[in-house]
This record gives sequence, C-alpha cells and structure tokens, in this order.
Amino acid sequence: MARDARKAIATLAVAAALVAGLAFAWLRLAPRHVPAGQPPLTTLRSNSLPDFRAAFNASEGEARVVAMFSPT
Amino acid sequence: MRGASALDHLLAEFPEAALRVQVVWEPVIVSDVAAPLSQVLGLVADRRVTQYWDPELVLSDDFVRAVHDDPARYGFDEPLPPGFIAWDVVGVFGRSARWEREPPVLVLSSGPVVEVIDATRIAIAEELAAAPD
Repeated sequence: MARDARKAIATLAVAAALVAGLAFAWLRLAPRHVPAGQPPLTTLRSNSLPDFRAAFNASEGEARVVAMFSPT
Repeated sequence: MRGASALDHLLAEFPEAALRVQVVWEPVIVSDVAAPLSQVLGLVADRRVTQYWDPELVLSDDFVRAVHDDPARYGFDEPLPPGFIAWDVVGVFGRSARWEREPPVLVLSSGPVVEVIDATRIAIAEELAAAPD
C-alpha cells in the first residue's frame, strides 16, 4: 500500500515537472507578435543603446513618450 | 500591466498627434522569465508605438546612472539607491529633446503609470500645444 502511494507521488512529481518544463519552454519559445502597424519587437542589449537613442532622436520635432513595464 | 493598458487608452485620446512612443518591457519580478507574449504586447496597440524587450535592464541602468551623475538635472534630491530598477514609469519628452550620452530632461516622469496617467495626459497635451522650438 505504502509502495503504491510512493509510486503515485513519484508519478505525479514527474508529471508536474514535465508540465512546468513545457510551460517554461513555451514561455521562452512562443512567437511574439506586436500589434499591426508597429515595428517588430526589438531586444535591447548593452551594445544596442545607441540604436535606442537613435530611434528616439529620429522623431525629433514630435512629442515623445518612453514607458517601462514588467511583462507579468 | 494595467499601466500599459492605461497608456494605450491615453494615446487613443490623441489619435492624430505627432507623437512617438517607446515601450520597454523588462524583467523585474520573478515571473518575468521571457519577453512579453503577444497578448501582452497587444496591450499597447497604437501604431505610433515601438516595443522593446530589455532582458539586461540596460535602459533602466542608463537612467539610474544618469540620475546618479546629476540628480538635480532629473528632479531628484539625491542619487537613486543601489540596485534601483526604473519600471512602471512613464516619461514625456519635449519636441526638441535629443538623447545623446545622457537622457534628455523630461517634461514629466513618474509612476506607477496608472496613478500618473492624468498628469501624463496634461504633459502630452501641453507639449503638443506648445509652439515648435
């Protein structure tokens, strides 16, 4: 009886780990699409700050807004 | 994410305005393990928006560095504390602002976004109404 319970718990643990792994992989690998009309999502790196600044400066003459959010 | 929705609704109030928006998503809390999904990116649907994923917090670090170097320029009394992350914030910049090594001075910068959305609306409206430099 105890052996069956341990086996069931182990099976559940493996299943939970699998689900968590799949969810994590999906979060990492799922395609990202921005709304229509926007440029594609850009990943910022330490060496891409000049590009960010250039994009900001490219709209000189217009009011500009920069907002920073957490995605979850 | 309420802040992102609030910003999108605000932009819709200025449908024809000469306005450009850069939205930066960054990992701040433990669940931020990857770039925002399409559903999240869709919260800010305005066509004048460009969206970024900043996994290394380079933009936040740049702001914090700039404030550290010259707090008064950005309206702070003192440098931000070590490890500070700029997030859930919105900044409005004037039409003549240029971003060289240091971020330009902001017309308005504050957060949480949902709490400053009215002030943001006023700042944008005033900037749009101001005569070009």
